[in-house]
Amino acid sequence: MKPNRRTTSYSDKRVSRLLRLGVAVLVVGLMAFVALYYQDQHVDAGPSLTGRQIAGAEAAVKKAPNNVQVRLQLAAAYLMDKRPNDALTQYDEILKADKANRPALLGRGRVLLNKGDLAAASVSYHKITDVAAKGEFAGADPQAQEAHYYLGSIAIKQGKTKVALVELETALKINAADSDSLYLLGVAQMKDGDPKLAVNAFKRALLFVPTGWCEPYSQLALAYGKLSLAPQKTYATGMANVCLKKPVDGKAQLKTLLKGPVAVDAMLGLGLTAEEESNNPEAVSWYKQVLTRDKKNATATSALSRLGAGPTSPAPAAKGSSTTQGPS
Amino acid sequence: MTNVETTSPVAPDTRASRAGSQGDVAGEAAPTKMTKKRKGMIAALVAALLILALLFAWYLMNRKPLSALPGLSSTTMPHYELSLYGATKPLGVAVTPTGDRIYVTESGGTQLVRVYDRGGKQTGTLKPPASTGAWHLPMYVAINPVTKDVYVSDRQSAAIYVYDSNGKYLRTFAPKGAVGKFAPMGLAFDPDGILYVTDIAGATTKTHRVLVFGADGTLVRQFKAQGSMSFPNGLVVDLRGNIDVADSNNGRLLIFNKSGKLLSTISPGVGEGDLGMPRGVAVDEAGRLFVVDTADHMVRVYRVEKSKVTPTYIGSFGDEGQLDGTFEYPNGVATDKRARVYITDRENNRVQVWGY
Repeated sequence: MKPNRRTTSYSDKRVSRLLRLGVAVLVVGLMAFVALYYQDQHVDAGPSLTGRQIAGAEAAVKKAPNNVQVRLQLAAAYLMDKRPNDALTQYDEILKADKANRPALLGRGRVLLNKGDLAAASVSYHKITDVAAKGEFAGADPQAQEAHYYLGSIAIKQGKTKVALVELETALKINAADSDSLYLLGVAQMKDGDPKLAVNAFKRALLFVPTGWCEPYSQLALAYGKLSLAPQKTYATGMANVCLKKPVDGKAQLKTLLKGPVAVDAMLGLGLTAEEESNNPEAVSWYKQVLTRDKKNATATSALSRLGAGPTSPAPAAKGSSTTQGPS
Repeated sequence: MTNVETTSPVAPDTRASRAGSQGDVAGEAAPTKMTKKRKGMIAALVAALLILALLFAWYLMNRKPLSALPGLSSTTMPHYELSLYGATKPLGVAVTPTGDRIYVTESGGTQLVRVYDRGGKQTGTLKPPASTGAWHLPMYVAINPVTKDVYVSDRQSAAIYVYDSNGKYLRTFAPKGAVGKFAPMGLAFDPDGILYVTDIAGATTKTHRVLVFGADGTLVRQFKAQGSMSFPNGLVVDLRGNIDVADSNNGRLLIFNKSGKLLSTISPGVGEGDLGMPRGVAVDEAGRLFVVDTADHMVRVYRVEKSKVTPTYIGSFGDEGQLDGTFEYPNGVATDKRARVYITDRENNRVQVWGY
C-alpha cells in the first residue's frame, strides 16, 4: 500500500524541524560547555619569574644606569630568558665603563662561545687569564680557572690541540677536581695521539662523576681500544652501555671480566649498576667481593658506608621490602 | 546538518515534502515509515545530546580537566600551569578541595601564612596573636576535613595554631596525654579528622616520631621507625588509610598502617624512584602519591595500589632552575580535587601550580 503523500510530507517536515532543533541545541550546548570549561579551568599565568626579574632589573638599570651590579643582574636575567644578544649589550655597556670587569668578560665569553664566535670569545677569556696570571692568587682563582677551561674548549674546537693542553692543564692546576676540565684534557690528549694519558684523565674525571655522564666512558673505551687493551675496553664499553640505559648489555659485558685483570673495576661497575637499579643488597654483595680482593679499595668502602653496610652496619633492606617493626 | 537534508538520498520523500508543502497541510500526521538514514540521524543526535548532557553533569560535579576523565591513563605527568608570588621562602602548602583557597606558610619575610585565591591573588594572612610570642616560623599547614579549620605548625614556638576557614585565630592546639616535649612539623588529617603530626623534639634524632591525635586532641598513639627517623617532615594519609611519612634526613619514605606498623619503605639511592631528601607529601583522588625531593629539585610521583604495599614509581616532574616549571629546593605539596598539584618552590619564592 502506498503511504499517504500529504501526511508523509507533513511528518517529514516535523522531523526535519526537530532534527534542526536538536542540532542547534547540540551546537549551543557544546559552545556553552567550551565557554564554561575555559572560564573554569583557565587561570592567567601572568609574567614568569624570569619576566618579573627582567622587569625589576630593567627598572633598576633605568634608575641607576652606572650601577654595574644591576646591569650584571639584568644580563643574567636576559640569559635565563634566552636573550643572548640583549645580555651581550649589557656586558658591553659594563665593559665600556670597566674594561677588566671579570663577570662581564666571563658572561660575554659564554654568549659569544654559544653563538659560535670562537675568536671573539677567546679574546674575552684572554683578558681574564692575562691579568690573573700575574695576580697574587693566580693559583686559586676560580674565574681564571673558568676562563682557562673555556679557552681549552675553544682551542679543541679550533683544532689547536697543543694550546688546549696548556689551557686545560692550567685550569687543573687551579682546581684539580674539576671533572669537566679532566674530561676535556683527555679529549685533547686523544687528539694529540696520547691515549695512555687520556685514559688517566678520563678515569680521574669519572672518579668525581661516576654516573649519569656517558661521554667519558665512551672516550675511555676508544682510548683503551687504541692501546689494544681488550678487557679494559670491554669494561669501559659495558659502563657506557649501563650509562646509556642499556643495562642488560652492560652487565653482560662486565660479567665477562670477573676473572681477568679488570675484575675489581668490573665488580665496582656491577655494584654501581645494582645501586642504580635500586638493588642495594646486590650492590653490597658486589662491593664486598671487591674488598675480598682489595681490602683497602676506597670506592668499595665508601659505597658500603653510603649503603649503610659498613663492617658494623646491618645489611640494607631492598627497596620496598616489608619489615615487622611495630609501634613503640 | 542542512547539508544532510539537502543531499539526503531520500529524494522521493523530499520531493513529496516540497509538493505537499504547497497544498493543504492541516490534516493529522499519520505514523509513517522513516528511512533508515533518517532514523540513524535521529539516533545519533539523541546519543550526542545525551553524551553532552552527561559531560555537563560530570563536569559540574567534578570540575576537573577533561584529561582527568575516568578511565584515562594515570601515569602521565602533570604540566606547569601558573605560579603564585608574594611568599618569601614558602615551605608548607594546603588547599581546599575546590582549589579556591590556598594556604602557604612563609618561612622568610614576615613569617606568616598567606592565603591566595585560585588566580594567585592574595586574599589574606593568618598570624597568631601577640600573646603567643613575637617570633614565629610557620612550617606546614593542613585543613581539617571535618571542621574545615586550618592547622599551622610553628617551629619557633613549638606549637600548632588553629584558625577557622575565614582565617580567624581560634586557639593553640593543646595536646592531651603523655606527649612530653613537642616540636611539630608535618601535619595531616585522615577523613575522620584524626590528626597526624611529625615531631622532631629532642636533642637527638632518636626521639623523632609521628604522633596521632584524636579529634579532641588526645594522644592516641605514636610511632617510630627502625633505626629512628631523622627530621621527619611531611606526611599524608593515603587512599588505603596508610600513613606515608617523609623521613627527610634519612632520605626515605616510610609507610605505616594505622596502628603504626611499618609496612614498607621507599629507599634513598640513585635508582629510578629512589629518594634524595623527601619533604612534602600529598595524595590525590586518582591514587597518585606526590613526594617532593628537595635535594633533587623535583617531585616524584608514585601510584598507590590496593594490591601492593609499596607505591609504584611512575615518574617525576621538575628540574633545578628558575624558569617556569623548574624548582630551587621545593618543599611542600598539596592537591585539590580538580587534578591540580601545588608545590612550594622555596628558593624561587613562589608556589607553582601544576595540573593534569
